Amino acid sequence: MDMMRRTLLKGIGSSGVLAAALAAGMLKPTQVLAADWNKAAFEAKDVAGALKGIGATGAAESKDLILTVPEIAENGAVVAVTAVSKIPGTTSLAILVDKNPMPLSARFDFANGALPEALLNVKMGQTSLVRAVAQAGGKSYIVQKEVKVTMGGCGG
Amino acid sequence: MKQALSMCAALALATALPLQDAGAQTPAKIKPAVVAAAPATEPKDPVTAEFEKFRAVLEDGNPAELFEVKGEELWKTKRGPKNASLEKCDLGLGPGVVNGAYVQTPRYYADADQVMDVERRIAWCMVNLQGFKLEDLTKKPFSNDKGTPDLVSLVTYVAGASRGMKIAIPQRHPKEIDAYNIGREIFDYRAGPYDFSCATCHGEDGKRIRMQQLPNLATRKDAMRAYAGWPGYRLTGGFMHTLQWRMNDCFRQQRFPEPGYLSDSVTAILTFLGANANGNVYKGPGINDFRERGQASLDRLDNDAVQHVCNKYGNKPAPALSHLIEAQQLATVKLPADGKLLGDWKSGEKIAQSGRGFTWTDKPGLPVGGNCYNCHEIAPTETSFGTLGPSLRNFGKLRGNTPETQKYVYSKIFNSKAFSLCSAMPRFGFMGALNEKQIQDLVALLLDPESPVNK
Amino acid sequence: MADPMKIRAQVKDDVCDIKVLMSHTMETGQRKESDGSVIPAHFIQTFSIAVNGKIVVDGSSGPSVSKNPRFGFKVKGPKAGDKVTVNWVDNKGDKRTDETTVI
Repeated sequence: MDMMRRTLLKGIGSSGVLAAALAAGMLKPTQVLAADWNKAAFEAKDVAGALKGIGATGAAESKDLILTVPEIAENGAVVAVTAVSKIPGTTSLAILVDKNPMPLSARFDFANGALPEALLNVKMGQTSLVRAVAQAGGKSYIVQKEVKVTMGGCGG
Repeated sequence: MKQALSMCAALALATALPLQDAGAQTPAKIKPAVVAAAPATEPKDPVTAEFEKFRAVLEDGNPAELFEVKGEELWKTKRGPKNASLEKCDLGLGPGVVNGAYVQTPRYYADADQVMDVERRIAWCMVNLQGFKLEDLTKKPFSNDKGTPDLVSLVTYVAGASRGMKIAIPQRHPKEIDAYNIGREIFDYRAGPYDFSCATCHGEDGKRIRMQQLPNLATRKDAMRAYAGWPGYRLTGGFMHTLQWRMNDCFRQQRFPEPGYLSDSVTAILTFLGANANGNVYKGPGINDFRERGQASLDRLDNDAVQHVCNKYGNKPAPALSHLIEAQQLATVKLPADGKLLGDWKSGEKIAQSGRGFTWTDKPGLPVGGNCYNCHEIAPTETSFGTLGPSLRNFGKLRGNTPETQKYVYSKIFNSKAFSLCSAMPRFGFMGALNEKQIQDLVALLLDPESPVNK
Repeated sequence: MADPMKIRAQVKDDVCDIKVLMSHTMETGQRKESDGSVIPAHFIQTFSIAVNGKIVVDGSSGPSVSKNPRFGFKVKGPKAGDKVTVNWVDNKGDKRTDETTVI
């Protein structure tokens, strides 16, 4: 499904079919996209399940995948995560938080000049590893870092 | 993720952005802020430095901007029974002038013959120009899980239109000066089950509750910083909040009754914080705007002897008077009948962690928490601790686990005022916040050789 | 109706920095009301960013993305004046589209 999706994305993007279809009122991108949510991956309860869901089981560790997270997060409600892939041909990135009830937070596919990097804010219930997964040329790569979540506020 | 995300809001009033350095020459930059930022303090410990990085990253792309967009739309849309926009609303600089208005409120408005803060003034315009009912605007005034009130988005929009401008709250009209004075009285007024005033936490430089930096609102620099940090987007819960909310929640945590939304008292304290001038005369608290809510009844504003004396003499009564009342307070300490003072340090640690109890949102009755980590460093295993009180690390190791020390610690927790009359520490046993067993457990946390405090 | 997004697209050295703020509760489905009932999950599931009608980023998210999500991306090629369109759809079918011009 993901391979199909990427192919579709590339195909549409490069040929401008989507724009044409939109102009003709044939299809709304929202309709295409809404059907595209990867339920199995996002609802997986553990990292292995989430990785399987995005087709990244057995991802290799890579130094060319750079994950920037705070060492200590003052507030688990909003933790800024930046992932940048220097791996040639990277077409997608995914962000996972190991100890969240459903580890997969987000996934991005890139096309038409988008660089393989992403910034987003995630929620973290507790101290956990945060992972970034990149997919390039049919292979998967992974990197992880720990974020400590502390107690903010007045404890009441 | 649920537990961590439902933590209580921090007591701190401040927040502010690294942006403003509110010196006399530099215009204070004001903008809706990510609420969590701390004022820079020296020296910085690694944790504080890491938090500052954490906040700086979040500041770029601040969700408050979403509410500015929404507020602008609301401002320009014809709404309400009179089907009018707010574009004729006079915020003090003439009808329809939004730019610069936020940094010049609270101010006196002749048409209403009242001093109003910006939120109150916009509400006034919504009532008078658009025909909304005031009761409807004040029913559910604060952002919550169900949504963000229009007034909050409107305030955020108006605040955004004062970005980069100098705060200049007028102190010319007699009513503006009155509001300032009343605000200061409220700021310093100690009362309630924990003997807290605003100044208890916001009257000293460089202190923290847990990891939250506390501005010293008695100084111009910090007061401006607190004012400039609002309206703010609160990371916990992800709510957009205004200064009206900030004041309300401070009083909740102060264990006071609830102040009325858009009331004179709140406008007054905002005038005090905003204007922060000097040389005014104490005239008695303007407490009529407070109302009973939950267990926080109005009699909490009445003073007992300790609160009265500390209020009257600015927390510095004459030594002879102090000693007299301290002796009376010592006589209130009830030691356990069986003579046992040392409980279970593990339970003590849990009590020290909890800050629950006595606010209008808490359920009445025990058990309540000890709030200890809010102000004290205790066990090395907890890195989020406040600095309003002294560090209690190695307390037992340093003082020895002797019967005398046990008795002192028990008594100090039971009634801190027996030892230092105007101490900022609540009287936990005397006020019925902690029971005998809880105090024994806290004594053990500090003195038991097995407690992590002494490891 | 969903509230407007805030989109910023700035080009520098041939790379366009796109930052998007979305107004959304991102309810996890894990939290409970005070009466014990579970607050149903409500979160953005998919979104896309297009430059002049061509999709550059196709994203999907779970409920652990923070409330009022913020995303940042970089795209090579866009010029000042190009149109950036962002849309999202949540798990209840609510949607929102906004656009801005590259500066």
